[in-house]
Amino acid sequence: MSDRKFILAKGPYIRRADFGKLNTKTMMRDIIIALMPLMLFAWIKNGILPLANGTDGTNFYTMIRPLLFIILGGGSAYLFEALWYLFFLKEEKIDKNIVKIKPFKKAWDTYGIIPGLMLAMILPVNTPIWVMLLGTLFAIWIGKMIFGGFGYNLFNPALVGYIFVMTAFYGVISGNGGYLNPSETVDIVSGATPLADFKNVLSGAETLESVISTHGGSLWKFFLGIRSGSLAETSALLCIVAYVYLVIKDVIDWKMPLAYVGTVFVISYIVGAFTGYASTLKFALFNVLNGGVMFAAVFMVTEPVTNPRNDFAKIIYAIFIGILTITLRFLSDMPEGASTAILFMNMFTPLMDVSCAKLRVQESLKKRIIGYGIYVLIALAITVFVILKLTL
Amino acid sequence: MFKKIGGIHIGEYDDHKHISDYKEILDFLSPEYIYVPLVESGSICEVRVNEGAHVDIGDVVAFRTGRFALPVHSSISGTVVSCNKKMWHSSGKMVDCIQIKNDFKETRNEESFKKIENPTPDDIKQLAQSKGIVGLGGSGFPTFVKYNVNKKMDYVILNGAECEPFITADYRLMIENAKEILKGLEYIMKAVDAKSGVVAIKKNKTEAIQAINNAITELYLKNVKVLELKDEYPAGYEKYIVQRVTNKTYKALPAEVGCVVNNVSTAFAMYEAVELGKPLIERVVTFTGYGLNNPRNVRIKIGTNVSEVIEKIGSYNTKYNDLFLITGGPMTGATMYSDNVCINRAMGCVLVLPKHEEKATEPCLGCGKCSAICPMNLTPTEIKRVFTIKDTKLLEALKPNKCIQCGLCSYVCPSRIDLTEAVGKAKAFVMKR
Repeated sequence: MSDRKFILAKGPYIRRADFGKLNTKTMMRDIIIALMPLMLFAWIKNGILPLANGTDGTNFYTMIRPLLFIILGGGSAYLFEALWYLFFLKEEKIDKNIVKIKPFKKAWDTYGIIPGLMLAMILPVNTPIWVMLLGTLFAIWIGKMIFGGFGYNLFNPALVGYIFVMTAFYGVISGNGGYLNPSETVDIVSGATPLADFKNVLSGAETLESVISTHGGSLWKFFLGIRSGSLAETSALLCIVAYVYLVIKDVIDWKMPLAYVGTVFVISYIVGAFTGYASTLKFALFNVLNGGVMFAAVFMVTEPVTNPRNDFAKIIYAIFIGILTITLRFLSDMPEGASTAILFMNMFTPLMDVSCAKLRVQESLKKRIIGYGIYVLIALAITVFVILKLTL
Repeated sequence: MFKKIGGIHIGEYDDHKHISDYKEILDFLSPEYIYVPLVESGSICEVRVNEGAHVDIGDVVAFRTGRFALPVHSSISGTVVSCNKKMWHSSGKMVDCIQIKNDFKETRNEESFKKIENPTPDDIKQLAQSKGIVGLGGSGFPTFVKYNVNKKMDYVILNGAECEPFITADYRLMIENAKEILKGLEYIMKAVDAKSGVVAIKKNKTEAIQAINNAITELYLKNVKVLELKDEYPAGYEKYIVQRVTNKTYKALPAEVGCVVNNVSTAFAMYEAVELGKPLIERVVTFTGYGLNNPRNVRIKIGTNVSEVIEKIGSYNTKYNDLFLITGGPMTGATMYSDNVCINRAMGCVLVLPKHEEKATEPCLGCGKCSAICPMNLTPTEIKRVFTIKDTKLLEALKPNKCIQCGLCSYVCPSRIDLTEAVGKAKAFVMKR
């Protein structure tokens, strides 16, 4: 009989997170790594190239500005999160003990930097830096910390900040140059972004071909990202690279971006078919490659905290965002639909989680079909509504 | 809705089988004492001997009561020291045990070792009961109950998947005793009148597949084949294997779709029971983990004290002060407070792990990996949340009672949340109502 004593614990005794392979830290690190090529592309396109081409009004500051803008976005978000911990949330409860929070370490551990980076990346190129700082403050405090911080926020913080900036300061931003970087200001005469001009296509004032030719000439350029738009979300190619990287690293669910982009493609093709573009895929491709669709598909729709936890709910969620993106894009005054659509669907995440968790274990086939059928019906109803509204 | 049960690939070296799988099974058949626990799978066992009495190998010392009555045999010869010795049990509680002191004379009770020449199917079913055969894969479910089926079975499936990390007992047994296992399979097929037999092995265990295939050719078995399973956890889950073989799912028992599923070590025990007349008194247990100096598989007498075996095979690694002692696998096992644990019939693994660095649990990230991985289609995060707010009606709709407690949700959670524990609590809460 030995008298050696052992420690008690609850199983399982091996965790994937402990191998350093896939834990919250590596997931967040991978997201930042996936954002980097996009940041670099934004810097080259909006900062370095105009200076290298010798465009009027460029100097060292305009060259460095895009990079500075993104870094300031991430840095300020981190700082604002630390400030919240410094002033408002001084203690936390860990295993029934009240522990004092070290603000700067805590803000680093709760990844305050990521919403800031994302917000800076989706804002128009010429957003004044002070507007962006107000945006990150709003994103972090109202979008994230007020709900209890990392893991508890209902809405995507970066998009909360984005909507705030775009509604409160849209005039300031367009007064400062809007979406166009120095070289684009010279090239493009009318309008701002392809999507803004797209409104004229819907109203019949312009053809799709003329919009494409004003903004570079081919969809191929849109795919590479050489078009006017937000700071760092223009390149579909790099978004796909990020998607592949994140899927290989098992950070995001591979089905969600596909469901989202696929829905945008299909619905816009159907709507396009009703407005006279039935024979060409250009109308649908234009909608997929423009605005924030590709960026949102990879980074916003799959944002873990605000999307549903349930496997099936995730796909329904992505499809609904796709439908709403098109709805908002075609029917609202705002040029961009993806961000509003995502925020809108964030609201339904808890509801979809519960209903799909129940449906998933439902044994009666009839009840299951009715449950999923309701989702299908709502989706169809919105699509039909959009088509009727545009054609009648 | 029909869904293929999925799993997760636990990497080649992350499953830690390499630390024990190359060593031969060591025989340790002369323990000083054995302890026969008086509880098995929740049923009480009646004592059949008195204190001070002499017992031979194969004497029935206890009898499992309840629906599935089953004898418990003494695995050594000697004297009964006590009938209510408290010992730790793999259930995590202290239970009464019959303590028997070994006299090392190895005298046998020939009545218990009686065998039947040319057994009929009914004889085999009878032997499975009288020799005290239970499922050696970890359930401890009496084997004869599985054979008492009214209709003709299509398949007898031997489960050699052993999908939990660290455990290698079945793997070694398949390599060293492939022929005996297949003979056991033949007897089981005869007992339930099955057309064909299947041995399910994970496809990365090439040596075991090789050994079984060789034995199949040697014994000229035409209707037995090897099924290669994916290298993932829980590939050894009964429903998963039956689904792979028959493409059908069942509700409670595999007999519903014409299958009998046994562990390979159970088939080996059946071989010993029918061919040699030996009751279930020995089994192979994996002693493994980084807390041991010499992790390996040991064939022990059932009832041996774990601490005695660990002393015998080379004691604990002195590098670590704080150790976990886990009975069962790393995913589903239970930690023990002491190493004075009696090895019962259903225990297949003793795992000693150094205490890992305690990392804080982070808030739920909402990635949904737990829900994507769950083989039973549950949504662990929702169950945990609803259980905390005690919404009974909603909790029942989420069906936590379907949980098989495989531990995958906690395993994959990037924030290290104890989801399995939470779902287990919710399951107990729902089952009680």
